[in-house]
Amino acid sequence: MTVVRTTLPPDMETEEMLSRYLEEDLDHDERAVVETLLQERPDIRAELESLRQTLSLMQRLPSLEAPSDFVQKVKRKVRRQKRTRIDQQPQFRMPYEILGIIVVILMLVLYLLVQQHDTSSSKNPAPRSRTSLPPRSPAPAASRDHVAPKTNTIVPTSKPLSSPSSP
Amino acid sequence: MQTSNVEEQAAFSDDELVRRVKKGEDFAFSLLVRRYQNRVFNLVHRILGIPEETEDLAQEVFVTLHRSLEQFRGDCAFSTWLYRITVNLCKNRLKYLFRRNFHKAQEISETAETDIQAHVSMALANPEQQLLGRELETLIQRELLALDEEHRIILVLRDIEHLPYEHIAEITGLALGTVKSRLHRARSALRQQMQPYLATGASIRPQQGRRFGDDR
Repeated sequence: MTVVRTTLPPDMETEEMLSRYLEEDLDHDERAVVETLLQERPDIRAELESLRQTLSLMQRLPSLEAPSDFVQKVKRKVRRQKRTRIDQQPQFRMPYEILGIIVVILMLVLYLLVQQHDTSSSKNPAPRSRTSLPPRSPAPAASRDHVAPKTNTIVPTSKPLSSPSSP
Repeated sequence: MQTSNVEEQAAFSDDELVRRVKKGEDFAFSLLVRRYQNRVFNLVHRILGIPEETEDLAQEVFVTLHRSLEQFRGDCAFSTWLYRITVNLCKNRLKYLFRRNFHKAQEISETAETDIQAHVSMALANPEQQLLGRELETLIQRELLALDEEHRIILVLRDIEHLPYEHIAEITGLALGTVKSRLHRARSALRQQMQPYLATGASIRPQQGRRFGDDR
């Protein structure tokens, strides 16, 4: 003999039970409870009927159709968005490009400065140390007479020159 | 290559179309949009409930899809992925509109409540009459919007889009049990809101599909 419960499980409200009853989502025992309640309680019968009507109304709502030019509109928007993305790209790249150009210019300027410095230092070499001779300056005319030019000076030797063939 | 007829649309699976879009084939994207545009449109409209925003957001869904298709690895069905994009964009738009107090300015057309009630009762009592239509839709849409966002989304995915629970769980990122319990709570709340307009033993004529913007 099977015992049929006549009360709902404590965690389930009547409304939920009825909704699941319409979905045929109840197990055998739960279904038996609902059917007993429906036989005994006119208020639950009315509740079930109004739930059924509500669902029926929803399911019979007219379905809308998109406008006939919907696809064209979507494709236009897609194209526009692609263009916008392309247009926006330089704005995002600009700082990096500018930064790159600035770095290149700085390097160029630096290179030119170094080159210029090298050139000027080769034209005007730095003064040598004190032990080295001072740069030659033109001698005054009076003193020039006393100094014989080195190239014409004949230095006399203490010994007469002898040839290897002489005795 | 331009194809638009139904046979050619059916000839390609979603995966095939996705593969072709990734390769840059324009016609494949057109086919994908055509295949899903109405479903996305409906989903957006039911979640957002603002006709002025629906088309714009539906377009945005497909633009986002095109932009991020490279990230789609096929871990789930393409439709699930598309629905996920749609739901996320709807949530973002709702937040944006809420911040701008859009909900205060954008009240659904204010037919007197008594008039709505009279219309619906008449429709329920007499299914042969050509009534319902906009008033009923307005009424349900209004009551849907009265639900909180999370419950509304699950209700729309399940009871309007008829998606399986597993797909809803994937779309929303919720556990299966949470999806079910939220759905039952949402139904219960909607039923209570609709209670004044309902009559016992009623049936309603189904509505024919109509093109978006007819009522604008």
